[in-house]
Amino acid sequence: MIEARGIHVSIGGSLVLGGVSVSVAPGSLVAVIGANGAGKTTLLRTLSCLLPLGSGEIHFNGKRIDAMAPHLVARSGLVHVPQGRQVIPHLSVEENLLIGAQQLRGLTRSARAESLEREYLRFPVLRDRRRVFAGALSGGEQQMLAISRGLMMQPKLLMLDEPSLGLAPKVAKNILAVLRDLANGGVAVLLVEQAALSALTVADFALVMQGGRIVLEGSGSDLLTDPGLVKSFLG
Amino acid sequence: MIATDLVQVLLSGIALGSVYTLLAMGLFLTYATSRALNFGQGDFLALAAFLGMAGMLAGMPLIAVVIGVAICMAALGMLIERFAVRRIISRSKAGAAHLGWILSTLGFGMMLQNVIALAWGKSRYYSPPLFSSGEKQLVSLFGAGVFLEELAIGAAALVLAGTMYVLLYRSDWGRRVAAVSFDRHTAMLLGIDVKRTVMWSYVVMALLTGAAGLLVGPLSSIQSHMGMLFLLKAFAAISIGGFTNPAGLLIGGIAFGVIESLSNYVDSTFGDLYPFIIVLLFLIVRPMGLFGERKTDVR
Repeated sequence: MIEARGIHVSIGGSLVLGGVSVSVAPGSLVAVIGANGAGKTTLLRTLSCLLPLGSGEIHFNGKRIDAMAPHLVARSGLVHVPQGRQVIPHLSVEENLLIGAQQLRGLTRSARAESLEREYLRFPVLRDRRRVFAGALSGGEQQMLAISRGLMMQPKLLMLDEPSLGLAPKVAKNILAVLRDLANGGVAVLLVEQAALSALTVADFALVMQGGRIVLEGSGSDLLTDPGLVKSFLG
Repeated sequence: MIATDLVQVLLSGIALGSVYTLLAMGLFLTYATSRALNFGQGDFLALAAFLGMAGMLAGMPLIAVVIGVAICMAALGMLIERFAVRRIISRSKAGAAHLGWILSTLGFGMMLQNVIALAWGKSRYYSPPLFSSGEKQLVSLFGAGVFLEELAIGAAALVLAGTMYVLLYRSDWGRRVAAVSFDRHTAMLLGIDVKRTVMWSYVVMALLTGAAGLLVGPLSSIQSHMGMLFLLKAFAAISIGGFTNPAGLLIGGIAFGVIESLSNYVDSTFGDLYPFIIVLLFLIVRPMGLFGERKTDVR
């Protein structure tokens, strides 16, 4: 699905990613964990082509994408739910849901209505609040909206940046369960999380980042018991 | 003031004010998508007014004049975005002050102003009426005789402003503008072609300004350097309404037009001065304008 090899990225002259490789297959959930400033967000922004690549290659769906414009990457099915939700506050919940899907050429009106119905079933609270401005939602509701908005774009790969940040534990758990379901349904999911333990419990595979490099990798359950994990987090 | 005069003065104010509203909407739109304003927008207006006058005097039908001016304006909108704005805003780092566009758009406007002066000189012109047989053709409104031309111009500008409102709030394009205004990167992640959206916002700005220029011709005399004063009045409209939503711009524009019209009725020598004084006083009381919020409504 996505395969990135040897990614180097510099911002303002300093190296932020130093040779990171990552791949996610359809139907699997890969978690990227690490402390603040490890380069996790930069990795996602690079994969969605918001940041220029210093060196390395990114292939998505058999096509090299690292020189593509970000909006075309998004339309091709690589969907990135950014940190902080970024729902558009002065659009209603329903307008937020539709805006991404409306950019997809060849998606019929009825297909869009079906996706909308599917998202309302996934998160019923969004249906109840569909006419409300997105800015008036609670943090948890905004996160649901951000995920649903991404799913409206028919992703082949869904990348999420800290979806549980600032949420009540119960809501965060619910969101991780939804992501696990999505992966089970065949979507490739790449999850960036600081809350390492809960991410590892749902992930098939995980990468631990530190200082812009991957320092540890393995299956979610293996890493949970790996003494190196604590070390890489606490230095 | 007698009642008949009052109706006429109010109507003149509404007609002029709705022209300011169109200009203000152009400023608002480009600011929303690019965080930059076209300081040459007044000169766009002047050029449209002169082109309109030339077309009408050449005996072209109104519809042909409108289409011709629209094509010129759309092309200018694309040009100014491409060469005076895009490179400057894309090269600036996030958070860094980037005000180069003030100079580049102002310079673009200066060029237009000089082109007008070369073609028509610097004298004052009177544009032929667009909608009526003569400037002084009267119709009856609330029992008072008012100029048909002003009535039609006010109505046309209001219809345009209303159309803009619908476009911004009800169309896919309006939602794209909202997304780009909120955050360019988020918009890109939603599959929105940000460059295209910004370019179209400049085209729409230029079309609105072109319409304002066409409509203002028969309302007041036109001159090559008239642009800056109109731009200033559009800013005054924005200051009253608040730079936050298009409805505020409409109220701000009309309010300024009516105050200006009343002030010119009372004192024709310094009539232009009082509205600005009133706006300054108003801003002391309400610095954010009538509908001002701390955060901009993204549309």
